[in-house]
Amino acid sequence: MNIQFILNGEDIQIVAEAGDRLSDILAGRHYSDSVHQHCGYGVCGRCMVLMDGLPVNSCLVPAYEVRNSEVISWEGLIQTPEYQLIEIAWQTHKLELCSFCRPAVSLLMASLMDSSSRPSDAAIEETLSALNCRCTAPERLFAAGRTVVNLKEGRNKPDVR
Amino acid sequence: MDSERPLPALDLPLVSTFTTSDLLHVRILRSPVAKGRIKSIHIPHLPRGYRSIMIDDIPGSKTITVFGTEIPVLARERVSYRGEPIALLAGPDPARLQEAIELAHISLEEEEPDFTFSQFNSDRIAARCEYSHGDVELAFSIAQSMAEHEYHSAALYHAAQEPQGAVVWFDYDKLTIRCASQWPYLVRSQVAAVLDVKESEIVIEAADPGNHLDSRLWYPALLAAQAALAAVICGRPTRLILDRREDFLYTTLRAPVFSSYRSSCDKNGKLNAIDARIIINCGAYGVLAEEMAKRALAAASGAYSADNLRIQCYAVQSNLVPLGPFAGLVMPQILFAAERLIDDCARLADIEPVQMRRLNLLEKAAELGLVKRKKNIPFDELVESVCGISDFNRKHASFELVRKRHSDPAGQPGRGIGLAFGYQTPGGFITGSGTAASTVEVELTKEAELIIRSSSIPGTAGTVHIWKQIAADIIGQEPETIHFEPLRTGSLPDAGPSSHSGTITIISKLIEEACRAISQRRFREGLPIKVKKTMRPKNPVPGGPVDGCAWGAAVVELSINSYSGEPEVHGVWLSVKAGRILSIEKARNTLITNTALALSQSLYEHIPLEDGQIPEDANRCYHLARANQIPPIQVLLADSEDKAAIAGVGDLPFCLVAPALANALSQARDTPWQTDFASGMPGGGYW
Repeated sequence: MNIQFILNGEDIQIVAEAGDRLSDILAGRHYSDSVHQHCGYGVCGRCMVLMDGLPVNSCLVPAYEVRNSEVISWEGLIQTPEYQLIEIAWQTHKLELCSFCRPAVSLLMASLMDSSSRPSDAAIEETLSALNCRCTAPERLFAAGRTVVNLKEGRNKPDVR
Repeated sequence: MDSERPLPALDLPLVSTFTTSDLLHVRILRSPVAKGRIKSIHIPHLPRGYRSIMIDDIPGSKTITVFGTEIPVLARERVSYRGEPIALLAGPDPARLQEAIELAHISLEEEEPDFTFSQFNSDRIAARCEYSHGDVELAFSIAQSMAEHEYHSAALYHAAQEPQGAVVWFDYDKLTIRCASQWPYLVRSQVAAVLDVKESEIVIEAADPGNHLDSRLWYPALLAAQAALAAVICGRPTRLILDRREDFLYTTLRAPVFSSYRSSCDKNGKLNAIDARIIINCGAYGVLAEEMAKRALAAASGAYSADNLRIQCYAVQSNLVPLGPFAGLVMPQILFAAERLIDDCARLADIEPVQMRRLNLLEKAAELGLVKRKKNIPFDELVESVCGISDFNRKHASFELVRKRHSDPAGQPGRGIGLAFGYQTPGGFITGSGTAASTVEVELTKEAELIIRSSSIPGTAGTVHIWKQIAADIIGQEPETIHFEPLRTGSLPDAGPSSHSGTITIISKLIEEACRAISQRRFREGLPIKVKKTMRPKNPVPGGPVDGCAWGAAVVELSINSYSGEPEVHGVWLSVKAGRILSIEKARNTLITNTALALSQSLYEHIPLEDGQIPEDANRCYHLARANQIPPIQVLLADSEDKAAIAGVGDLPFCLVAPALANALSQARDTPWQTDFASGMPGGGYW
C-alpha cells in the first residue's frame, strides 16, 4: 500500500507491506537513527516518536495508521527551539542519559510542552514513565520534566525540588 | 570536585545504527536442546550471496578464553545449553536468514540436562573453596539450640538499553569491530586468536554500553568473534545484533545462589557458630567460577564474625546459559543471605536487629581468614544516621508489637521495616586475565592541551566529567583543554575490564598520579610531556570487608496491600561512607539510580522457570519498574575523607536493598522471607 506522511517537516511517500509498523519504516529503512527496534512490543520505549503531537511507541503503530499524519523523531525535534529548553532542563538537573534514552526522553518532554494546559505533577511523572530509562534517578527525571514545563510557560526559575 | 558546569555528553557510537551499502547480516543457528550430542546439521540451500559458517570454517582457535575458561565460538559435537551457537548464516536480507534458520534442522542425541544446583555431582563443580576456624560441630553440640536457614537468589536480566551485538568492517589493512564491551582488549585478543591473525590487525571501537550492569564483561568477545569470522569468510562488512528475545535468553544472566546456614547464638545474641554452604550456579562452561567462589567465601558471614566458623563455597556448572557477570559479581547474592541470617538470628533470640548486628560485628584487626582489618567498621555512624532519618527503631518496635499480637494467627501483620548493613569491595578481579594491569597515559602537548589515553569505558558522561575535573584541578587548566583520545584499541593502553567501579577507583587514581607527575615536570622539561601509569592489584582479596571498602546501611519500609497481597514500599533510606568521594553529586545520583534499579529487581523482575529452564517467551513477562513506581529514596553521604582511598559506591544498593526489603517483608508477613524476589514465591518455587 502507498502511504504518505510528513516526517520532520518533509513529505514522505512509501510503499509498505500490510504487516509493517512505523518502526519498520523509520528504523528499517534508515529514516531515523534514533528509533530503535529493541523489544518490538511497546515496553522499552526506545522507538518513541511524536505522531500528531502525541508520543507513541512506533513499534505498536501499524504503517497504515501513519497515513496523512505528522511524525517527529528526535532528529526533527533537535532542530526546534523547544529542544533548547529541554537541554537547559537537562543541564539544570545534570541528567546523564545514554544515547538510547536521550531521544525518547526529549520527545516525551516535548510532548509535555505541547500540552494545551499545564500538566500536573502526576501527569508529568506518568508521561516520563513511558520510557524504561535506567540511566538516571527518577526524581531527577521528574524534576527536569517540571523545569521544562516551567520554562515553556516563561517561568525562568527552574524547578529544583 | 563538583562544579556547576553542565555535564558533557558521552558521545560513543551505537552498534545498531551502523550501516553501509554492502553490509551482510549475521544470524545464529542455535541448539534447540540444553544438553546433547550433535549428529547432523541440515541447512537449507541458500541463494547466491548467502553463506553458512560452521566450526570447521574457523581458521584459528575454535574457542574464546575468558578468565581461563574456554567457550566454543560454535559448537562442534556437543551442546551444553539451549541456544548455544552451532552455525552462522550470513546474507544481505535478515528476513531470508530468519527463514533459513527456521527451516534448518539439527539432529541431536539429547541427554538429561542438569538445571538444579542445590544438589550436584562432584563432576559439576567448577570451583570450590573452604575456610574454617574454631570447631563448628563441637559448638553446635553444646549449644542450647541450633537454627537452620536457607536463602535463594534468582537469576536476573541486565536489561541494558541496546541488545548485544557487533559490527565489523574493513578499514584498509585493519579489521575494525564496533561493540559495546567493557573490555575492548579482551575482544581484540580473542578475535585475533579466532581469526589467527596478529592482534595489531584488529581494531576495537567502543560503542555506548548504556547502563549494562556488568553484562558486557566478556560476552561481546564471543559475538565479535562470530561477526568477524563471517566478515572475513564473506569478505564483506557484517552486522550481528541479537534481538531482545535472544539477548534475554542467550546472553549472560546473574548467577543464582543457594545458601544454607546453620547457626547458634547464646542468650545475649552473640553468635557461637556459623556453618555456611553456598552454591553458585555458573551455568554452562563455568566462566568466572573461581572468581565468584572466592568472593563468596570472603563475604559469606557479611560484616559479622562468630567464634566458630565454617564456610564451604561451590561454583557449579549447569546446562543453563553461562551465568555470572552482573552488578557486584555475586556479592549482592551473598550479602543478601548474610543479612537475612543476622536478622533471622535476631528474631529467634528476640533481640533488636541493630543490637544483634552491633554485638556480632567484625572487630578491628579481626581475622577474616584471608586478611586482617586494620580499621574499625563505621557501623554506629551509618546505622545511627539511617535509623535516624527513617525512624527505624520506633517503627520496628511498633511493627514488632503488631506482629506478635495480631489477632488473626492465619493473617499477616501487614507492615514491616527492614535494615541491612554491608559493603562494596574496591575494584578489581583476582583470577585469570582479570588481574591484568590497568594502564593510563596522559600527555601535555605543545599546545598545552592535555590528552588522556585509556581504554576504560566510562559508562556515563559524569565519569568523564570527574576525570576531566581531576586533571583540571591538578594541572591548573580549564576542563575544556582536556581531551580524551577516541576509544579505539591500538592507540590506547589497556585499562583492563571496566567493572566493579574500577573506572572510578583505579582509572581515577591513575589519571591523578599521571597528572601529578606532569605537574611536577611541567616547568622543568619542554613540552610535550608524556606520562604512563600502570596499576596491578596488590594481593587482591575479593569479597571480604577489607580496609578501603565503601560501607552502607539501608532501611526499607513497606506494607502488604490487603487486596492484592503484594508489598508496597513506602520509602528507602541509605547511609553511605565511601572514603574519598570525587563528586558528591555523581555519587548521590548513582546511589539513587541504582537503588531504583535494585528495587525494580526485587519487586518486579522475575525470570520464571519451566522444567528448570527459562521459558522461550520469558522476556515478555519480565517487567521493569517504571519511574513513577519507585518510592521516595533518601541518601545520606558521610563526609568525604581527603586522605582516604577512592571507593566505588555503585554496587552498594544492589547489596543492601534486597536484604533490607526481605527483612521488612519477613516482619510484615510474619515469616522468614527466603528469596530476594519480594513479590510472591517466584513461579511456585525457587531458582
